[in-house]
Amino acid sequence: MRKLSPLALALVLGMPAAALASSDEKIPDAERARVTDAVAAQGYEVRKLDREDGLIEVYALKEGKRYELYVDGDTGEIVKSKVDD
Amino acid sequence: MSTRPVTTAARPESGAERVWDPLVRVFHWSLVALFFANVLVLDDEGAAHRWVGYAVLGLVAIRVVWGFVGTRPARFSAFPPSLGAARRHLSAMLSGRPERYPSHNPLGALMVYNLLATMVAIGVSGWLMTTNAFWGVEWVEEVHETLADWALISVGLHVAGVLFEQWRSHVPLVRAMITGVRENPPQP
Repeated sequence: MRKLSPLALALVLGMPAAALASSDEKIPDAERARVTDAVAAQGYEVRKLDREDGLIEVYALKEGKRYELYVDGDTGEIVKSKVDD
Repeated sequence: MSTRPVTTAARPESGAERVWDPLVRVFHWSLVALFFANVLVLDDEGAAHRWVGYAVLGLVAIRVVWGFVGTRPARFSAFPPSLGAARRHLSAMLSGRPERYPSHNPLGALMVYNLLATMVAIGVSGWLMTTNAFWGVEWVEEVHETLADWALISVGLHVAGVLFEQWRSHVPLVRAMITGVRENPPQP
């Protein structure tokens, strides 16, 4: 679930915002470069990298299709690939 | 189309007026349900989130058409956006002067336009996120999320405003949005 502004939540529901906060940890430059290069080498146009469940989630385009790729940050290997339709 | 007079000076005890037609009410509560489903329940990367978002756009589109051809209080002409009127309304509120409006009061009207515009902007930015041009483009996502936060804040203000006005004027406004009938207390 996406991060909600605590102010908005407090105003509307007073829900504990902490429960909804996403993990927004930074991806180190070296890992970012490794993943980007590995994915680009397979013909993808890389748009965005996010960390998710220990993997790097990559938003990418290839041949006019939108992909969410889940990539191993250490090896650059694409573990899972999802086409957005 | 016939409407009852807004102030019933001749019969102050019978101040019930039909304000919100069924379309307005179904629109209002459907929007509440769909908006909160999308913000609080549905996975925002899932297909359901998208379809609910498009349904919100559809609802708003219907409401906009109804704003031109609907029942008298539902029409935009019954609650034109006016900062001047909102200012006068605010000063009337602060000085405790009772006021009656045939549709939304001027502050409420501004909130309605704000909410409608925000819903459209959220829907359009959400759709952009599914296009090749804006897939994974961070600023579009940030716009989408910031607008959703703004919508939540607006909803909070809207509810607070309605409850305050209801308390101040003794007109059960929330019930009016459920039954369609606004029970005005006798004018002093």
